[in-house]
Amino acid sequence: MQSLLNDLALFQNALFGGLIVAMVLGLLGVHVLLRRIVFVGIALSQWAAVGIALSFLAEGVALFDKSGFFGLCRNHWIMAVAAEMLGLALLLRGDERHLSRETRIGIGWAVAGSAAVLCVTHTALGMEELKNLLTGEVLFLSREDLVLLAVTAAPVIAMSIALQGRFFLIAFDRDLALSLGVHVRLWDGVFYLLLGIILAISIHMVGVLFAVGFLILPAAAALSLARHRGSLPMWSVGIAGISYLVGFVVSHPLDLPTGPSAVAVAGIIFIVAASVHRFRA
Amino acid sequence: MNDTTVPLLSLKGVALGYGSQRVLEGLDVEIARAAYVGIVGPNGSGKTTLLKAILGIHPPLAGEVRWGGAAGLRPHIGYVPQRDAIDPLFPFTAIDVVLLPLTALRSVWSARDRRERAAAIDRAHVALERVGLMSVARQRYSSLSGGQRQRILMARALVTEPELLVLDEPTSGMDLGSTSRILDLVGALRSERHLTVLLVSHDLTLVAQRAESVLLLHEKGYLYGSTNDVVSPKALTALYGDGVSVVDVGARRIVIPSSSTVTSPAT
Repeated sequence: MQSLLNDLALFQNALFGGLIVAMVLGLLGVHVLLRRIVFVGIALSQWAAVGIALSFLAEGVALFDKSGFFGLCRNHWIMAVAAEMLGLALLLRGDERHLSRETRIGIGWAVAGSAAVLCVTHTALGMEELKNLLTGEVLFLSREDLVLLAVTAAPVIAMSIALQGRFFLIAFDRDLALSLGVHVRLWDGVFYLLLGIILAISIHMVGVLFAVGFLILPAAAALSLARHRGSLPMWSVGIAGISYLVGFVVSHPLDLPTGPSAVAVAGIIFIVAASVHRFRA
Repeated sequence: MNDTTVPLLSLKGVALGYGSQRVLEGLDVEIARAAYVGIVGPNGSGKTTLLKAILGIHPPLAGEVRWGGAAGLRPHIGYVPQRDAIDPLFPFTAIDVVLLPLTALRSVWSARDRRERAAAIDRAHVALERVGLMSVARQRYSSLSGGQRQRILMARALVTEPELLVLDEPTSGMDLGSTSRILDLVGALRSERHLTVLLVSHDLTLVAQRAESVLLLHEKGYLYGSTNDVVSPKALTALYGDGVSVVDVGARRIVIPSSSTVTSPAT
């Protein structure tokens, strides 16, 4: 116990950082599931990984660059958001009659995954960086990471809560929203931007596996448990927070990586929630 | 105050379609206030496309959709979609569904205002009481029967206090009793609130019995006029040849395919 408390003091950045990421992903995950855009979320996270991989590459090039451009490209977070927005533009544009959206998402996911591997293969730490991109290393979050996360997450949380009604309306009945004069394209854009920002920072700090896991699992469990609209985000955020805390605590004595442990806990909670849902039905 | 002599909605030379493909062309129709208009036609005739143009979802390729509201502004429209268009994935209660449009009519930053929220819930309760479903307000929408879900969608339309009620195939797939109850409710609401009603359906008989005017869309164009003029043997024979017959049963007009034969049960 004393050892755990000591470690909590040592890894408090990881504790609070991971908790914030998990809960914000839980909040947005509800809308991702209701809009049936889970694969857009997964593809976005892959594009964010490409951006981060490119920033690793830029670190090497920046040593020989006098213009300063590649210095800017070393910023993981900026590169992740830029790559996501590029990927999103490619995913959402195009002729449905030529290629379905699912096909374009699949192509984007495969191309982005390959690009991320190729970008980091010959960087200084190579496959180690790739592993970090995938599973993340939440324990090594620095104080600066935590500040950046707080500054980024606060407006995302505030806007997600303020716009929740509009997001639900658009997801539930798009035609009704349009008939009421709601600027659906604008709010869609805002939603994707919020999602893109939080995914970019999540993947930079905790990896693709954690980000995708917490985007889907707590929201899926919440859909099984919530009895009305108002409780849906609360269930999702609550399950995300509990999953992370349990995963964090359990991973310590078992000497397991924190991120995958937390995702596994979220998975177990989802199975229990789905069973409860089936029992109720 | 609105000028009651000005039509609520005028379609002037409207062409509808997708990309270069036109579904409807040269549509000139005026819809008076408090009118009850049925829009009928076979699949692919452009009923849904026209509906979307009126709702502002899909702008016309040519022509103009003009509103006769104050300063030419579009009035509040109560839109009742087909109940099966609603995704069952959402764990929404009946009152959640009724409250949804109000979130669009409030400013983003007042969404958490308690007084506004209480007022919205009051309005939702009034709408639910009017459709006779206050008792299921806290039940999950997806667990309700087809008729109840359709009435919840009508309550959702009423909560915005609309001037125009647009119903898209509201009785499709319903039994006779539920169909009758839904259409009786539409008629009662129209009388109480002086609503203009646009009822989209593929069922000519149903529309002939309820609507005062009919807009009949067909592959050669459209026919618009009073129900007696449009759903008449002369007009329908011109359109479908000998394929349909119009029979008056008391005050009701029934359209039946001519090939239908009434057979006696075997003895």
